[in-house]
Amino acid sequence: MSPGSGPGMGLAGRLAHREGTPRRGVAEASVVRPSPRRGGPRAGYVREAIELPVARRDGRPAALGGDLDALDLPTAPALARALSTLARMPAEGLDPRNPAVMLDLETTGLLGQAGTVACVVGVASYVALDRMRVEQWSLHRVGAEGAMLADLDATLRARMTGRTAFVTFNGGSFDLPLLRRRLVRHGIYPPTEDPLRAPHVDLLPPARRLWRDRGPDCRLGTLELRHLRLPREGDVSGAEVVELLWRWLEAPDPDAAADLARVERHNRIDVLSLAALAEAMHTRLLQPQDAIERLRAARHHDRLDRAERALTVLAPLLEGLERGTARGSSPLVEAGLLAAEIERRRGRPRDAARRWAQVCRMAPGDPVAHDALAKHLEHQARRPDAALVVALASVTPCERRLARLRKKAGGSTGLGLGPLLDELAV
Amino acid sequence: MLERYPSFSRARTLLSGAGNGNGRDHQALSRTGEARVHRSDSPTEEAIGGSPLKAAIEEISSHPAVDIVCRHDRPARAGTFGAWPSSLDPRLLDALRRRGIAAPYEHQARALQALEAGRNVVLATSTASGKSLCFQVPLVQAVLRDPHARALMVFPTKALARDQVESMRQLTGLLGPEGASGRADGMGPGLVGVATYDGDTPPAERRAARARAHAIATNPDMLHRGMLPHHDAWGRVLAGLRYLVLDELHTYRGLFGSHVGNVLRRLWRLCRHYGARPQVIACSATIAEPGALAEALCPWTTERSEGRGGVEVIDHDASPAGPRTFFVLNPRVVDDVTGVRRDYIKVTREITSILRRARVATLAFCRTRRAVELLTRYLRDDEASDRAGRGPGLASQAAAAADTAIRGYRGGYLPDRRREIEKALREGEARVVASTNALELGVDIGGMDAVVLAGYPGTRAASWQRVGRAGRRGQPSLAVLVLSSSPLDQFVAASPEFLLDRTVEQARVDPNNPEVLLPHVRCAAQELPIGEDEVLPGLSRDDTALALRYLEERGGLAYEPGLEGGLEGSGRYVVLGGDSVAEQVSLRGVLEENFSVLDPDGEVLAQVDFEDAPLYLHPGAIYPIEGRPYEVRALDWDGRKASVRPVRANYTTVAVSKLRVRVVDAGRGEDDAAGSEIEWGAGTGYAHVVRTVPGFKKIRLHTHENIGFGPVSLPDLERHTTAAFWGLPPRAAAVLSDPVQRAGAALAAAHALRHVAAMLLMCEVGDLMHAVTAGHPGAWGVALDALNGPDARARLEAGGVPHVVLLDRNPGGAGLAVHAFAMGAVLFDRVIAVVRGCGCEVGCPTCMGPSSEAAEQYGVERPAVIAVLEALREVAVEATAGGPR
Repeated sequence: MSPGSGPGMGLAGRLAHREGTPRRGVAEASVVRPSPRRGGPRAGYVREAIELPVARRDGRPAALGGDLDALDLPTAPALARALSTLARMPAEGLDPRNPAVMLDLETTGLLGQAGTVACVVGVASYVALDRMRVEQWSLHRVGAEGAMLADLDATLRARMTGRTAFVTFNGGSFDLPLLRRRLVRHGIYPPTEDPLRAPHVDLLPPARRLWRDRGPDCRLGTLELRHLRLPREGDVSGAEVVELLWRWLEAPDPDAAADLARVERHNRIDVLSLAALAEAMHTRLLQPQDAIERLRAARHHDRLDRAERALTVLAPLLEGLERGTARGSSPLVEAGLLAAEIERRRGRPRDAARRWAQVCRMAPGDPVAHDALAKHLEHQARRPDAALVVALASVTPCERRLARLRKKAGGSTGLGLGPLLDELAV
Repeated sequence: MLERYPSFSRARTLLSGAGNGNGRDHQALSRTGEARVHRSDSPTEEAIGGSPLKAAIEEISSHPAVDIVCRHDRPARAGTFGAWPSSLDPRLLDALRRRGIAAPYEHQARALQALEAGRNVVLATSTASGKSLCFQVPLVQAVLRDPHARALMVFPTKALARDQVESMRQLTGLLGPEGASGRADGMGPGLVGVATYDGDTPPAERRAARARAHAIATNPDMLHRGMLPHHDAWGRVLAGLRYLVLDELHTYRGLFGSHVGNVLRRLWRLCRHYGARPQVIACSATIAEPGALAEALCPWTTERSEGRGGVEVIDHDASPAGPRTFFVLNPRVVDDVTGVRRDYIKVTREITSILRRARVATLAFCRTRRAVELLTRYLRDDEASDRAGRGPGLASQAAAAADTAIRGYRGGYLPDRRREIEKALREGEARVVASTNALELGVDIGGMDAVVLAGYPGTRAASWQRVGRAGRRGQPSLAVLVLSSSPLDQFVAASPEFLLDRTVEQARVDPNNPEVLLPHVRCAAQELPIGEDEVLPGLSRDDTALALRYLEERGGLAYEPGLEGGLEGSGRYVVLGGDSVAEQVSLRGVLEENFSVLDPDGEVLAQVDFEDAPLYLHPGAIYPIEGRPYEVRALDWDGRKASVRPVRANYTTVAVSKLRVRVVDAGRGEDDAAGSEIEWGAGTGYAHVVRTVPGFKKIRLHTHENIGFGPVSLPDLERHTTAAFWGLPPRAAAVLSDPVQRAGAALAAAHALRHVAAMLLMCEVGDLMHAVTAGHPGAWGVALDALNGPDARARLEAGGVPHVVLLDRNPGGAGLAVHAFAMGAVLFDRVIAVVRGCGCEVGCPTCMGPSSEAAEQYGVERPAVIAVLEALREVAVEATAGGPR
């Protein structure tokens, strides 16, 4: 018998024979579910669209559900502006008439495991400056995912110009890579091409920058509640979504359909609140509500290389620092250090030194500020005697620097720290 | 010509003398057998390697402890060369030349030509014949021609993949101008990126491998679990796939091979999806019909279109080989009355010591991990005392030197240790290595002058594979087989032509075994919904539809009818559920976590398979690592950890194990198992196999005498699997009146049944187990297997009605025993023909198996075995009369 021929019984016989045999099947027996009826829903997926005005006073369709009634959405130019505050933009900027497509995926797995299918996809875009459209795709059968995604892809390409960005929440690590992989998997794009190429604003990183540790978590629902005052009635959690979607795909009965409707509603709210959240974050980044938020907003601007804007946001804190009233106030000190760092980086050492001196005055011994100021005085201002005085006052002075400065300064200088700092701080 | 080759030791000296990184180049060459780099060296060097070996051969020939069963001298063979394909890229030609390869061997040239012509190639030439070159060259050529070309190289182990990546990077590093800078992306040097992708690959390197590597080395398990389920991330690789390399093809046999066949089926399906049709390059050790194995694993390779496709088998080895002397030795009889022979481990020690003293690079293959440890310990003792006797110096220095020169190597050692030993072997620092079959595969260890086999490895193919480790680089070499006193070994002693004249065994696979096929069909459906008109690779249209409907009816797949107005009109089968199906399917039937062996500082010293833990890691056990004894102080069963400490022990331990088998009727399910024990007769069912380790023996080193016993209290090892059984009917029992003989004959029959069933079922003998139970196997009776004779014998004497049980080794069962049962008379006719047709006198290991140990103990002869088989045949015919159950 040759190795290729199998043990002399056709598969039919072997399967029939297998009937009577016991199995502790490892993979096969682990999922035993009723097969869905043949000839179930006629289409593999459903696509629905609604349009709505961005302002609530113009009257909203009831289809949205009550939760969003209290919410004003940004107009197209307002969102364009907001997004440019949130992230780096392409040189030509976003199209003010059609700045963004808000995208959110509900999937049958949260970790991208092998069985993860894109099941509900919501896309919000602008039909006019003050009107949005929410389009939503819902999968009715696992096997129709390819067809659904092909339709989604065609729609996205119709909706987006080269100056339209994707707006997502955590889409950088979840929604977009998953969607790209699924598009390749179903042969809608060849693997050599990169689908969905467009600017992308992921709201999660700036949200974390702004609000990390200042609330229970940084989930979209939490942020909506805290910053948009948008409570979600009867909403579903991420883990629930996975469960409900599988229930729906496995046995699409009326109960499951009701559950699907809940997921769809959740998804609709997500894509719309993304736009509202973007605008709220824009406002808070320019007009922070307290000192800590101000500091974090400035860090955000600085991160996007917007020095002027960062310093403008920091201005109230820096005024306090200059007055030197609140001794040892942490946000003021942090603001001073950040401002100094920004000044140093853009080549204004004297301004940087001024900020460091202000910090040293407010937070005596602060190692970062003393260190930086001493360095400045030694190398830039070439005042080793002053540098020595400043370096000595640090809580963790660098012995090598002290030794070097002592040598350069040549003995005692008679300079007092207080007057020196006062001199440098103006 | 032979004398034109410098000795290996000479090459080593030259390289280590250079001391400026040349040793690294040298390593790269060693596995591909391109010794030709030194071809122009002086011919007078031959004597350096030749004469110590010659002296050793003479010493072995007249050794008082052994009888020479046979001596086989293979003359030297000159290599013959072919030409590179004319289309070969000049950069590649240049790189090959700089690597010292001016022209390919004839078989390499043939392989390259066949690949160039679009055919699939199976290479089955000897160990050092340069098989790797036959895939490295076409891979590099393809990438130079088209930078989008990709290749997947599948190796059975991570270690082999790593070796090949190293070796291939040596070649790709020579592409382009000399001294060109390497790639900055961790893909190795040159224009062609080479990377590994396996369980050890860190995330960043995984991304790099996907995005930039041209040739990716992986293993079947990673392909199955890590790559195919996420094929969209591999789209670029799959779309560009030009070559699929299957190295060590012969390891893909039996149940494991059948799983691999299905993984390749899925891979091929996805290649089709992304529009690629890679050519297959398979490399195999010498087995019978390697082409048939390749076709069974990759059935699509037989398809031909426009002159492409089809499989070309290349098994003519054109590489040069030095003369090889092969001895088969039998330890001398020490007691004429009982016929007891000298212990084969001790004889192996003496033979290996001759080679050790002659400073000949030697690999000693042992059959068990225990034997490796024992031999390592003994050889180190010998080396240390030789050194201490030779000159001044501390005993501790001699011991340290012995530890360097003599090494042990086996599975269970940590990867770092294994790498270190391989390196020591390659660089000549280690002279003698005792190893299990872990070094049988192509792990890069350079050339060996001699190989000693401690005991017959069990198959002719494995024997020649191990012998092939000796005599690389056209040097004279020596291979010695020291036979043990086991019946199979003594059968070889009686008929050495069994080893020398007959062809090697073939490797069998059965990818269409439903138990293997069906889970993989589910994996495939999760990878991409299976259209109802789709034909899965390697299956007929009808069989595909059959498998899909079968799974749908049982909820394993869901059917979704065609979409109206959608992209595709036909229905499709999908997997419902978010868990990865592939994660639930183990290719190697291993489901339990390993045990770690920890030293007092909490450092991991070794790994032990779950099943072996009760045997080797019970408290009080001596667990040796490279011959150094550690005592197990505590075993944390749930934590899968054993704490050991180094000890000075002059004994080793051997666990005693007992096997119990219970079969529960299939029809009644397992819920009411308690009350559903099977009546006398034959049938199939769930088997509950329990292995108990009640205690252990202490065995003194050197003398091997039993010096004590200790109790073991550990959880029993339980396995649920499937089984078939046939009970000896009362009328046959009446004929074979002596119950002891009856049991012995039944055990011999069970052995023969298992071997013939494995042949008919296209699986490995190791995929099945056999046992004989006293009475019907529903009782919690003791089972008789080849290992625990005496205790079971007592039970059998009382039991009276032996039942032959055939079991699937795989946890959960693999449908093998049950299928064997369904074959009924067909199976038994073949078994009876084999036992009756054997040319031996009263029964030998071929016809009756090692249980002719039973023959010794119980006086079983062939007529009794045939009588049992014929009685069982009738039972089997009755049981299968109603057709498949």
